[in-house]
Parts: sequence; structure tokens; C-alpha cells
Amino acid sequence: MTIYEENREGVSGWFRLRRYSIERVLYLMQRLSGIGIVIFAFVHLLYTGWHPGGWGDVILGVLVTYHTLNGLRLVLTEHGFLIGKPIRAVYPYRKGTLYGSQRYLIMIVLALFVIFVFIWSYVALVISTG
Amino acid sequence: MSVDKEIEVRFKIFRFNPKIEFAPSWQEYKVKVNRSTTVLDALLKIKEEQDPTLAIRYSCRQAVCGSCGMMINDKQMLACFTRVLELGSDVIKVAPLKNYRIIKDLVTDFNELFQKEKQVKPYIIRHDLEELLSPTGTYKQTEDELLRYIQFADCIECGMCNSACPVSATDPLYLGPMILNRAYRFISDPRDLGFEQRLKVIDSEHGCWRCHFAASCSAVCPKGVDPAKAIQLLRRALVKKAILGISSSKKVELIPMEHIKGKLELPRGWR
Repeated sequence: MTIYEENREGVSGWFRLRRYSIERVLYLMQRLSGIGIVIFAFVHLLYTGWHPGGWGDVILGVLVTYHTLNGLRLVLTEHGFLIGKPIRAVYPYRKGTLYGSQRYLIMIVLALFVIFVFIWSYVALVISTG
Repeated sequence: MSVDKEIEVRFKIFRFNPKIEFAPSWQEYKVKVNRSTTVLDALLKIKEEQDPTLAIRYSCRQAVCGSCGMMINDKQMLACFTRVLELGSDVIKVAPLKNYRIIKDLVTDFNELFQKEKQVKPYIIRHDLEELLSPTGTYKQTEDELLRYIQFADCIECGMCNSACPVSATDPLYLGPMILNRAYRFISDPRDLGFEQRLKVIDSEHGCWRCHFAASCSAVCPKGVDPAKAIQLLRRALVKKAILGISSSKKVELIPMEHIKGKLELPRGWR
């Protein structure tokens, strides 16, 4: 079977964000931030305690903060919390995973993300450089 | 705009015959459409008037059979359920569903999908064979119990959720939202006793733990089924089983009904 016949999207499928819901964007960022953290952790262990410093620390902060907060959101939703109970599918469809409390949770997570990134950046750029 | 007013729209259609061609190509057609023309109508018009070699699969034309799922302007949609002018673009790009083997042009092969579906036993499993063969009553089911699975029972198996899933895009062995939804539909049914029998397939490397909750399956579902919810609830059931030891299979009460008569005979060689 040729690659054209198989027609599988592969990793490029992660980046197909248009026309899907916001959860898909969050999923992509979760993956990318995870990969970023693994690369950092590898270097961090290789040269014991190494960290980029300055703006590099800010980027690291963005990755870690996002991955943690979104991870907590996933722990909740992936155990069936805040996605609503099954209902009768009546048009216009309201799907519990794309609507209601799950969406509010996303807003809270993104708000917390912005706040934590500001605090982290302040620490990395102002306090730690003196 | 009156219904009769016709507008010419360009269709960019994916053409590929894997048996004789190495790589796919895109072919353009111009079709006159009006307000009520669906993408399927337009494709059939192309097939009738311009190019009879175009291959399409469809059946009911009213979003019930789930045969005509395809990528319309890069999103999984049912061709019979999407009106051309609703899309709001001059060029309509039509391609076969992603993540399925292409048979020809817009027709994809669902064989692999249905083979995977068989593994999760998509039917009600019961142990009281005598009662099934010569019924004496009816199984009691409350409204709440019905609501637990009725949403997931609306699935028409169009396979668009599996096509939209970013995990299916990279893992060919992943069961996918359609099949996990199917499994949960029967697990959450109070009459079913097959939770433990389905565990081996669901609770595996390529089972429900592979889902990353991108919720694209729910975003593309044309019937409001919400497969993402089914997968998360399925995980909840598995966690309940692992930590608390509570099985999702429940005992259902039998209400005797005296007017039920008749007996089913098993085919020879069964039992």
C-alpha cells in the first residue's frame, strides 16, 4: 500500500487546527510544550542544573506553566468531570465536551496561565537579575 | 434569494485510482447550484453531466446512513447534509476522509474500522440464554438508565470522528472515537453484562487511554453523539473498576409479562 493510498495524516494532523474546536489547539500546545520540557530536562540533567537564563527562562516558564495547568484540566475532564451528563441528542446539538462547564474550565486555566506567566517572567527578568 | 437563482461554483475534486496511478491529482469542475443544492447533489450532477468516472459512495441522502462522509473544504462533513452555498466559498474542495485507505476517488475503505469494531463486541451480552430464547417478561429500564446511553446509541457509523482524531492520524492501531463510543454505548446499557469481556481490548495500549481529549471527534459529529464524552466516561468506568472494584455491568430487573408468548429456536449446532 502506497503512502497516498493509505491517506493517513500523520503528525501534520496535529497542526490541522482550522475548523475544529479550541480543545484541538490546547491539545497541540500540550504536545509541543511537553516535547519542549523533555528537551530542556535532558540538557538540564546532562549539564547538571543548567538553565537558559533571561528570556530563555521566560520561555521555559511558559512551557511548564501551560503544561501543568492544562494537564490539571485534562486530569479532571478525562475522568469524566465537568463534561456534562449524557443527554438526548436533540437538534441543535449541544455537546457537553464543547460547551458549558468544560469551556469555563478552559477560560480559568488560560487566565491562570497568563497570571502565572507574568509572575514567573517578573521573577526571571527582574528579581533574579537584580 | 429565490430558490431558483443559480450560481456557478467551482469544485476542486480529489481524483485517485490507486490501482493504476501512483499519486493523486485534483480536477476542477464548474457546477450551477441553487440555495438547496447539497454537496452530494452537486457531485452527482458532475457524475451525470460531466465526468461519469468520478467515484462516490452514498445511500440515503438524509444523514441517516453515514456513507457520504468526506473532507469538504478540509473538514469532515456529510456531503448530503451540507449545502454548497452554506459553505460560503467560491471553490469547494472535496477529498476522501483522512486516515482511511482510499479505494477510488472519494470512496474510502471502512473494512479495518469494522474489524476493530467487532473486537469490542458491539451488541448486548447476556448470560440468561433460556430467558432470551423463551421470554417471560421485559427488562425494566428507567428514564435515567435510558439517558445514560441513548445519546451514544445515535451513532450512524459515518467514521468522521476517527478521521478527525489527531491520535488516529498517527496510530493506525488506535481503536478511535467511533469504536470506543460504540463500546461505551453497550457498557452503559443496564441490560448488558459484558463489561469484563470488553476490558481486554478497551483497557489496552491502543484503547481508551490513547485519547488526548482534543475533542475533534465531537466537533465533527453530525448527529450530536459526542464521542469524546463517551471515551472520558469509559475511562471513568475503568478507573471505578480498578480502584473501587465496581463493575459497570448491573443486574437488571425482569418484569414478568404474561401475554408474551412464543419461543425462539437456536440454529442447529449452537449451544
